[in-house]
Amino acid sequence: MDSRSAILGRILAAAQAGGRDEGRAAADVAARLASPPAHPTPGRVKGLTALGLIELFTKMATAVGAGVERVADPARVPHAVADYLSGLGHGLQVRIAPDPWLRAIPWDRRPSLSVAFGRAQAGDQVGVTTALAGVAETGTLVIPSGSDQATSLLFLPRIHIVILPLHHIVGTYEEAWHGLAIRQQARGLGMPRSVNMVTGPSRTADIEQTSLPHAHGPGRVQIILVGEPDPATA
Amino acid sequence: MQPHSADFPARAADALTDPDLRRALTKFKTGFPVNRARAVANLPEFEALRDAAKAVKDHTLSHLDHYLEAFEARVRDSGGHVHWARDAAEARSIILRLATERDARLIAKGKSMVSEEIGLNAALEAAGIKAVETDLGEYILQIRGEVPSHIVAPALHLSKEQVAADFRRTHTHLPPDRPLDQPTDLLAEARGELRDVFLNADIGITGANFLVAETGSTIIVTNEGNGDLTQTLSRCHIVLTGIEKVVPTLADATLMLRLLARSATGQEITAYTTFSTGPRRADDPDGPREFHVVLLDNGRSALLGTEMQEVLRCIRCGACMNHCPVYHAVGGHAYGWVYPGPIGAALDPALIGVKEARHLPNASTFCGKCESVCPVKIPLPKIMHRWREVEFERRLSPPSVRQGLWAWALFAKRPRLYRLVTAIAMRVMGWMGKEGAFKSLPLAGGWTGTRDFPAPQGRTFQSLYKDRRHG
Ligand code: SF4
Repeated sequence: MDSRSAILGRILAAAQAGGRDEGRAAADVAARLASPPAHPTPGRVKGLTALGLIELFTKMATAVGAGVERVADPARVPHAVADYLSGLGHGLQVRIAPDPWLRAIPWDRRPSLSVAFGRAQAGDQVGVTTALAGVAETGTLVIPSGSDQATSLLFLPRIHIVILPLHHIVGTYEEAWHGLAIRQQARGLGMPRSVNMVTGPSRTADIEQTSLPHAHGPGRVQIILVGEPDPATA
Repeated sequence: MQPHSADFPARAADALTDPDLRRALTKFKTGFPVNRARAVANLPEFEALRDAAKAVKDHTLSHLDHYLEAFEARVRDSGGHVHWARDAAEARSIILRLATERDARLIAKGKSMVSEEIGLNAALEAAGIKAVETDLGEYILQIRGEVPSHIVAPALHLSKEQVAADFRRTHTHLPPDRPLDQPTDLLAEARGELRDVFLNADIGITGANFLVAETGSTIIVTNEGNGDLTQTLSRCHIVLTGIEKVVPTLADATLMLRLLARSATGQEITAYTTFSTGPRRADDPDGPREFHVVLLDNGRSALLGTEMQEVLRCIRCGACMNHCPVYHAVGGHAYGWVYPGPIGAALDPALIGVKEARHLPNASTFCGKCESVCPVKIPLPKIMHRWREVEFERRLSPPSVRQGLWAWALFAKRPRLYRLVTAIAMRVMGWMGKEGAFKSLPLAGGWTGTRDFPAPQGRTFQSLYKDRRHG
């Protein structure tokens, strides 16, 4: 017998010995997959306005070592990026995800910035991406892969800058999943190859149980929030 | 990995006299538990999440065949491959075959306890393939030729001086007089060394914390980002994991993720949580060209339908060992195999055999702390107790232990005799330990070497209980 049949057969035999109703098992599983039960979600986001979510997102992201700043409109983004990097005494070469919205940002407003688009190369120091969602419950960025997003930008460079439209901030992971489902459906696609949840810069506590920033992934995560909160929902 | 669990008594005795280990464990026993307590206090829904997680796991385990088949179908739909391995040898040969077919010379590895379980590195090495651990703790252990002492913090038993000496010994291409005094120096050096591995690896192997049947996704959870570099940059990503890791849906995985980091390190969530579904799509700018999942049974399915089934709910958070007084005293290496602490005592007999692991279920004070912090509410003391019965039934204990248990049973079945004998023993001990705690006890040197044994205060539990009932 092949291994697949052997393993599945053993599982089936145990289930039958335990009295599982084989007439229903497959239908039960299909039903649960089709409409999964909702689980408890953190009360900390319940009842928050859009402004409250932005505040909580900022607080949680800052607590894990990310930087958060805000600009009023996309035209300010190049300046925010350049000022942030200069403030660190860092070079101004950045690699940007091939995302249409990021491409539309007027990067040439700040001529000292040197921008290139695409996946990260070995020597790249700064990766710039957007995110599908900023999740307030833990200050987490949800970044799916796709033709417009290179996963390597999240991990290879030393600095990760995230340009996040304010209205992408949601309360819970579940809301981010919902947003992903809508986006993929609109694109006629299923689950993307990769969905990355990023919460602050990389770190390790493997030497004497002391938490240190900058392990293998970026040592800095800077989140630039773009836009004004919508007065209708604030 | 070759088990050494049968040597538990000797290894535990060694651990109790190792000063480096003692220092590490002193720090360890407060760190994680304090952080976990804070994270739990910050999430009032935590208890409700534990109940929900237990229910999800119980449902999944009772329909495991269906969910594994659904997972497999979704992985295939997304262009990946699923391989089934009955035991460690089969899992090794599947991965060896994948590696040799691709002419792989260098393999980057994310942290995977299942890889330790099947002894993958030694098998790859024997085939002339270099496999490099990229989690900092695992990398240090690989250099030292050691195995992890904790499932989440594998190198917690080492000091920075030990690591510095290992780096000097191994990284001989670097200037010998470079400073390596600070942990940040060590981290920067390891980061530089491993960068080349990420960039040049032919294959990346990771474990999985969860599998999602609904989408065919595998999930890894890390803080370092090493697992992501491992699986993003190489041509071929191989996921090696146990069959019990599957959950039905993304919503269920999300529930588990809310429990995992809080229980493990006390973080709200780790820096990186990654859902991988199939290989690079046609218009993706990066990602691996191949995606393989190796599902390992290795004794797990045999637990289904038994009293030990509940151990399969485990999400490998490590909370049980973080809170275990026995683990705090002897550390992880004493257990002699991949999974130490209470989860090891409850799981290892199933994976390496009752004979080899026979001491582990005895390495417990039955204080119940492990069960009280377990995010999926596994009754670890009960399961350990059951393994002790199994072992006793199989007559694997030496005669002296059997006689001891028999004598205890004799007393236990005769409550008055038991009361009399314990009351006498209590009084003798209370008198000897006048200051409230014993600094040393005959026959319990290992125990009192690392802590004071509380002296019984006056009366037995039974007599207090009797008063309470009548009072
Ligand atoms: S038994 Fe429970 S506490 Fe221990 S590692 Fe598994 S899930 Fe965590």
